[in-house]
Amino acid sequence: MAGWFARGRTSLVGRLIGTFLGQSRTIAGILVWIGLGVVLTILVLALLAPFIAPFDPNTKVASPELPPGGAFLMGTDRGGQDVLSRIIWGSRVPLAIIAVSTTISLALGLPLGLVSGFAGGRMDRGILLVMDSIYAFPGLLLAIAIAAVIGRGILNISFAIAVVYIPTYFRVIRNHVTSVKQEPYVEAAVALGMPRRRVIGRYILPNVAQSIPVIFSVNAADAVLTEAGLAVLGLGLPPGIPDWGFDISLNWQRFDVSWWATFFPGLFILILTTALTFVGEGLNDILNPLLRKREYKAGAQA
Amino acid sequence: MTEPLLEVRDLKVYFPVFSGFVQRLLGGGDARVHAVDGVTFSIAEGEVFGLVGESGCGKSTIAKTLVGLVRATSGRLLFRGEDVTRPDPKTLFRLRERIQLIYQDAHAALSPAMTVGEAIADVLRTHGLPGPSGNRVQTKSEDAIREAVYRTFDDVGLRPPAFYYNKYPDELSGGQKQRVVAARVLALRPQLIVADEPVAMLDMSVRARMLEFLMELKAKYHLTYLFITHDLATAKFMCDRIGIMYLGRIVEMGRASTIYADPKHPYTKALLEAIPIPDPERKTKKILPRGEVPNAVWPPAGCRFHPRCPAVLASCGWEGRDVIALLEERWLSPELAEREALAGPVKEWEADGLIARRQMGKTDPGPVYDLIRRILLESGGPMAGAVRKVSIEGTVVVVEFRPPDLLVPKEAEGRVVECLLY
Repeated sequence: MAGWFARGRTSLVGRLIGTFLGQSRTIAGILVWIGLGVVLTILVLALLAPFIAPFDPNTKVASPELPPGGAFLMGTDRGGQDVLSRIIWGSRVPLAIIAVSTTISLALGLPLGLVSGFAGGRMDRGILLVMDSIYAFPGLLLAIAIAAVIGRGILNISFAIAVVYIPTYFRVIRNHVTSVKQEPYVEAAVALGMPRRRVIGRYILPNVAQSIPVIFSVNAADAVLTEAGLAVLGLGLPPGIPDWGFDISLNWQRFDVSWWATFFPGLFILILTTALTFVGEGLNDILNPLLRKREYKAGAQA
Repeated sequence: MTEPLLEVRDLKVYFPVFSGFVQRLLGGGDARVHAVDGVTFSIAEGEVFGLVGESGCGKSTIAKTLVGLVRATSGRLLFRGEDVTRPDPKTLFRLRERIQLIYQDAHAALSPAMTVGEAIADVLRTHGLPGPSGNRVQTKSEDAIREAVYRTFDDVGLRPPAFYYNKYPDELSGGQKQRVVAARVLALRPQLIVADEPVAMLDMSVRARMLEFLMELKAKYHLTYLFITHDLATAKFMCDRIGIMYLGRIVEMGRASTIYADPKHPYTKALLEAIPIPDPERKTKKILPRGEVPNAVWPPAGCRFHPRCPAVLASCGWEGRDVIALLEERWLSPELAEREALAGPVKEWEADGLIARRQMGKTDPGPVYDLIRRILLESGGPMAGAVRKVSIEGTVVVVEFRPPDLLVPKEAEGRVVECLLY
């Protein structure tokens, strides 16, 4: 089983990376590089926060609402805490939430999409109905409702965001599967006596996998925004954990006096989501034309 | 006589036509595509049996039914005397080791995300390695599997095997891919190979080589082929016996040499006439069928070929919609369309089985009645001979046909033919 997985995965991930590297000099490729660069920088900031941040993010280090400059590059907030330090520490929250929530959505959305698309019929319609009803809900509203019920904490918030995104993975994968399963190579696999699980895992999954990185980056960008939104609304993490969204909610009423305490956290949310969107859009351009090109080639041969 | 390897008896495969909910309420829900509609044939061990026909005649559906991809609506399939019409999963799994498919499009039949070596290794992981006495030996040893894949590659002429093992289908030529597909099938050591247009997508230059290759495999592995093609020239080269299919039925079946020398069914004749002969001086009139293959949802009554048949008789199955087709064809000429405008437009006519009718409403049906009689007389031919009566029923003009004569396959000069001429 382990060997099976490793073989499937190396060839699959390798192929996707290969496709990307082949086009890394195009505009789409450059977008992806920029996006990845920014995200990695923020990741390094988050990991090295204890060494980089000049002050403790949770203690009063100076008088409140000092303008940017001097020892405090981004000024201090209402509580006299260093804004820069809070931003550096605060980058851990969105990244953690991205990691947890996308993992949950993918872990549920991908298999559901594969099974539903392959099985078709009543089961497909049943799962579709459930997924569509979730999807029909405005994402943030749904996340608010879930967060309000299950309470605060990184895991809880991630879960709330994950639920919102399961239908997206499901939809994209399921639709892709319904078209791939018509391919003669899938039929051939069935005719060769392959068990159903093997047909899905070895013949369908590798051919729908190019959708995953694209949804992943869009999902990640959205997760950052949703988390910030929840924090602004007071449904975020408990106080004491530095968080960009929480800082905005804390300081925005004093925007006319100390704009920096609201502006910089907002700016970083913008940078991170933009970077993730760059990755998503760029990958979309690179990986999906691959699909189109292959169809074109098959058509030309016929 | 020995038992045939495969026997197909009165096989019927219908596919439901998916219609909307409202349509189903209105009673249109029982529409079915009559893909295969009563086909009977058998294949002896070691034989090459060809199914020849235009696209859409049901030959690929038969192929899919044989490997259990499509379920038979009725009829029976016997493999070595064992009923495999509706096999349980275990029987089906074993059956698929004995009957295998070679596809038309080798490129599409291989997953683009899998190396061709893996494609075959995967089959061996599922079914085990072929054992010495026709049994199969399950193995977990990846080395043994790789060895077996190499041997199979070597058998089909992909040398050196190690070079091909890690290639993706994208990196191989059409002929090489067809060999990979053959290797994948041979890894199962099947007894019957259903080859569904195996060379149709190959270049002319590799086609002959590929056919020879299939014959080499046949000799080496004692295979039996069901060879499906639309190309009579290929069939002539390959097949011992052939069955000519038209719209879900076999219209003529017998030894290939007999049929090629002297075709009996008008459709077979037309197909043979259509083979191009590379001789610019040759000027013979070709008798080709008119029009197009009819819709298999509502196949024509009587002989399915009758609307297109150059030798059609009055008893072949004329029915209401043939009148409408006649009007349509006739009014392609502007003069006729103008002169006979009274009976038109075509969409006012409605066919119902043996009857064609036109609702006249408040208009006097008399002139249309006269006109349609004249048209039928003028166009003459077997269709006019099949008309029972033209009449006026209230405000409706009705053309009614006699039911067709019973059509059964008959023995005629060394072959089975399904035509009223014999």
